[in-house]
Amino acid sequence: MIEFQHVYKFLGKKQVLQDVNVTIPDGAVFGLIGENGAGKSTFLRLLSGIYQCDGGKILLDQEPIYDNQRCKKQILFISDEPFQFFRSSLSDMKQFYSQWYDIDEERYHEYLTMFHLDEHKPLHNFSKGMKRQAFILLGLAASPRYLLLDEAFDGLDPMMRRYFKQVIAERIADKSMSVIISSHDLKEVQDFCDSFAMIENGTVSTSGEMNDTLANIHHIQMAFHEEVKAEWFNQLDVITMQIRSRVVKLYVRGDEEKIRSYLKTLHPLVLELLPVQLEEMFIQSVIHQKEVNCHGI
Amino acid sequence: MKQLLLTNTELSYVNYYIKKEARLGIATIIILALFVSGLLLPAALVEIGLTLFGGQFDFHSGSGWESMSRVFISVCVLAYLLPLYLFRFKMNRSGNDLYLSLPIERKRLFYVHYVIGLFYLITISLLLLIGYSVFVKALSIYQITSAGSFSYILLNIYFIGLGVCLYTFFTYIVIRCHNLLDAILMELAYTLLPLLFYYALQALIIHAAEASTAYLFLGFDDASLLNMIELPTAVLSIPTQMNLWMLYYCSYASEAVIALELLLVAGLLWIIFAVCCFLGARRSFVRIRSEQSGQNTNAFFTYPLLIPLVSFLLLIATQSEQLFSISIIFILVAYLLAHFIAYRKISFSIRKLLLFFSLAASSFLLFISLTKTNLFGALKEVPKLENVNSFTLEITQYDANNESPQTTFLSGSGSSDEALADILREQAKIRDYKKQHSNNEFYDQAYIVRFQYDSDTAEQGFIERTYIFNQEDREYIEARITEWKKNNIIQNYTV
Amino acid sequence: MAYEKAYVKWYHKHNQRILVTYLMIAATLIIAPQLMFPYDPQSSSMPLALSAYIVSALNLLMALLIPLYQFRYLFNKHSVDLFYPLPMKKTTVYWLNYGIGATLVCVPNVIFFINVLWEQASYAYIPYYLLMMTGLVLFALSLYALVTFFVMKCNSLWDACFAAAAVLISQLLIVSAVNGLLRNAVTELVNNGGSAYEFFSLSYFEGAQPVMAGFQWISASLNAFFHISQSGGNFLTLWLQESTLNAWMLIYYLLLLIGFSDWACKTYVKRKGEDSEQQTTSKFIFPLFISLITGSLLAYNITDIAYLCFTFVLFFLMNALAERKLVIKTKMIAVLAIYGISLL
Repeated sequence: MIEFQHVYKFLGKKQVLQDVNVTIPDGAVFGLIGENGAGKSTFLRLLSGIYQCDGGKILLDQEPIYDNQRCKKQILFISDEPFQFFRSSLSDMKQFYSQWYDIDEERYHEYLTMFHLDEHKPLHNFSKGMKRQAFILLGLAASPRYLLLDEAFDGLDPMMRRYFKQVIAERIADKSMSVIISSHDLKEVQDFCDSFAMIENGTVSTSGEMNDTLANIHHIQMAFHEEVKAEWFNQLDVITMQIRSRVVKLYVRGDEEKIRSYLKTLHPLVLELLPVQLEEMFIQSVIHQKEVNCHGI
Repeated sequence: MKQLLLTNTELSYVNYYIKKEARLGIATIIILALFVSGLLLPAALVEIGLTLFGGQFDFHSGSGWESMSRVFISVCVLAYLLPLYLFRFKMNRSGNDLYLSLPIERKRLFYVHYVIGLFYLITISLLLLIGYSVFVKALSIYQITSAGSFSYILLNIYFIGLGVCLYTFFTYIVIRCHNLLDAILMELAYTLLPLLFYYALQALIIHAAEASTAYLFLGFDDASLLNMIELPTAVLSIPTQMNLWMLYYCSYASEAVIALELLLVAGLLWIIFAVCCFLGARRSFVRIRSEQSGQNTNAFFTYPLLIPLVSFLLLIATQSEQLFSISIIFILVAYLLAHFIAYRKISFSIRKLLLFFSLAASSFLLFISLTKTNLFGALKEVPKLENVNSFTLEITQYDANNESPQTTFLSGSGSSDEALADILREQAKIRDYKKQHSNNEFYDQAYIVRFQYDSDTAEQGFIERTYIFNQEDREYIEARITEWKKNNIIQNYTV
Repeated sequence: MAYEKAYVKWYHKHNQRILVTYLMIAATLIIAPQLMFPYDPQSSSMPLALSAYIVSALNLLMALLIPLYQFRYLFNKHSVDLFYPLPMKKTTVYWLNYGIGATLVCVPNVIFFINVLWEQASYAYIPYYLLMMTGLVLFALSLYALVTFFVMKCNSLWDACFAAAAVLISQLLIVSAVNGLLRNAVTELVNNGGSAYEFFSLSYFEGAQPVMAGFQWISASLNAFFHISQSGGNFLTLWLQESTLNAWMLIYYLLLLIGFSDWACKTYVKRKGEDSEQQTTSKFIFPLFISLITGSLLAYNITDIAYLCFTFVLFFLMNALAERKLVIKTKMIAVLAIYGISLL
């Protein structure tokens, strides 16, 4: 298990992460979401030992990760722009990685065939998406305990994404590998990840199990006989509210039954409770945060 | 001790690295081998420009000692290039991401790359050396290892050891830099810095001595300040150490012993220096902040130290009695350019200019303090009475427009203590007169007054003082001569 | 026209600092001799002569560097993505960048002329300085045009730097090679009893290289000035006697300037955006320069083993740069052998 305990990080004078507290369980697919510049890549770099945190602790099984060979052997980080040696091919990079990680040759060749990649072709001749595929392939063949992918799926075509998800699911089932993915594609994250953390302004505003968190948020649309007043909804934990004359749109947190029973007491003409997607939740959270300048869902 | 050994993973990585770079390694060996054997550089190019070692090392000569310098130059080239190549991953973000995320401790990662560099350095040096000895000098293996050639082997091990020290130093420098351009510039700067240091100090001392003696023509026999800067240079300068080895190998016993002592001291100092650089490099590597890679370098031992230091050295090298001279403009432009390169930005700030002008003022103050104190007492114009046996005084008339030879106006000598004391007093009067009436014009017609003292000191057999007067001072000179004759200061004189 | 003006305005704003720095450095270097050696009518030629040589050296340097600076956007995919879609014709973009670069190349000459106006007590020599400077500007611009043409043929910055350096080096090597070949031939023919210069006048050949033309031109002008100041006479007559670069050569340089500028423009227009950051495959770069440099070195001296080794290593390194790979191919050895045999 990975734990972030009160982690702070400055890049130059800018505080990128502040008081980050997250627990990443084993055998999970963990999604990391946030706006551009929120601190997702910094989070992953701290986790992989590239950066050292300026405050707090990052622990793997109660051991600090930074400069710890034993811990780092269990972590493999694939960045958004992976480094390749001058005019190297996938085979050359595999040879490099095999010095440090145990690469399963059988799986490596199986994935090569599945993803239609030529291991002897120079990587600089690959397209951006193919380069991503190549490095994800290496990560999967290495099957570390924690695989960190920074914006891995951005740039992959739908078919490739499907293959990768399939393969990752297999690896997780086999080897209890955990995958931590940062992505802007929230549909993919919702579809694929069991748990997630949302980083806003350097803090983890929301984290937890995907289904439980989304089940706790409701998108409500109501229409009334008369003009809607905001005070009517004071008893609810409202995230955002949009009133247009006699119609109101709400994002509310809480138990569905309790919310429904309360809203019925307001005698609306129309009352609809809709399921919430991760993308919606993210957008509403950002709006909420900008409006009232407070954090979290 | 256990920490010096590589683990299996590390050994496997070293093996992988060497195999990966095999082609480059072989190409390097071939090019250096051609250079060492004298085949690579055409003679004309060498004869035109390469007089770095005071003309003592003719590359194209078949002589053993001179040709040995080619092996050492190859070692130096490797010492320069290896740190840049081995630690280049540090210079960009994605390289950092890859290497720093690897499952290895940072200090071990540093150590592994350092060892790879050592391997290349020592292996290539030994190959060049053995190849040179066998194929160029046609020595057999028995000859190389026989008693007579022991010094030859020792010499080469010494210089390979020096190469290792240089490599360690440059590793430290490269690790302190955040990008490749800065690393290359820093390596160049630190190569030239000792030379600049030496010449700047020498120039300062010589200019200050000239100024403090107000354009008089005096020797620097007792300029112990100059000696003080030459001693550390002799010990630490690599070309000088080559000379010392020649001295040890070829000279008489007494000189050989002195040479060996200096070499041992030099070797020890270099080892201590290299150990400090290794520890510093390792510490810096462990503390790398990955977010700084690819950014401007701002470590203390790089631009923040070097720019003011080099500017100060240039200022003192070109310092004169005037506070402001043209050279300041050039040095200021170079100073500003260096900042532009360091910070990748063309910007002017009051702070930078203030720093420069304070350095200029400091160099001027240093110069003035040296001239006013006669180089802190080190410059001795008058010879010590007890060391002098006899003197000769000569006054000659010089005329640049006249083709006839110079006419001796007066010459005389003396050897008694009273005569010597008198002549020293007279010399002091002449010196003081010159200080007040000195000028810089070219003397087409002049009187040259020369005092020569025979000394029994170990360093030299005689001391000479020369004073030049122009036609305006003729009356003064004639008055002095009259007085000397009247007071019988000079015996045995002729007119 | 609006876009062009906007482009020039943007260029000036974007490069203001570096332009000011360039002006400062050029002015310091050119005016320095005047400050270090005060003007003396007896020896007036020295400070200005030194400045003139500095100007020539600066012309050379700027002619090599400015094309690389002006057209550096061609060597990076991202900057190509930025510049190619601009709403201007390719020829316009080319001539704008080329024109700005040409202006920058002329800057040292302008500074020198202002210095001359300031320094010279007598204005009688001004027309002669003008004549000298016209030549210097022409040589600089023709070298600039030549380098721009070769830079247009390259796909990456390293290749462009190689091309610029090769333009300079190959001119020097060609002159040495011709000297060497003729010297060897003459030595052979007259049985060690003569020199090449008795039979051939190489000064026109040397004058035809832009790199060397500037220095020859200054030398001729200064000799003419000196003779006039000492013993009077007609400057033009003296100058023509001194200078091998007569009017025909000036026309040659003018044609060089116009020809290569236009050819470079055509090359620029034909360039494809996808070529940037790729290997340079044009026959005008590596094949041409490797042949010229290797051939010149071999022509100079083919009998000395040291030269042969040096030449082979250089040939090998240049091919490694071209291929981006350390490899010795049979083709390379064959080419080298052909050069050697034909020169023997």
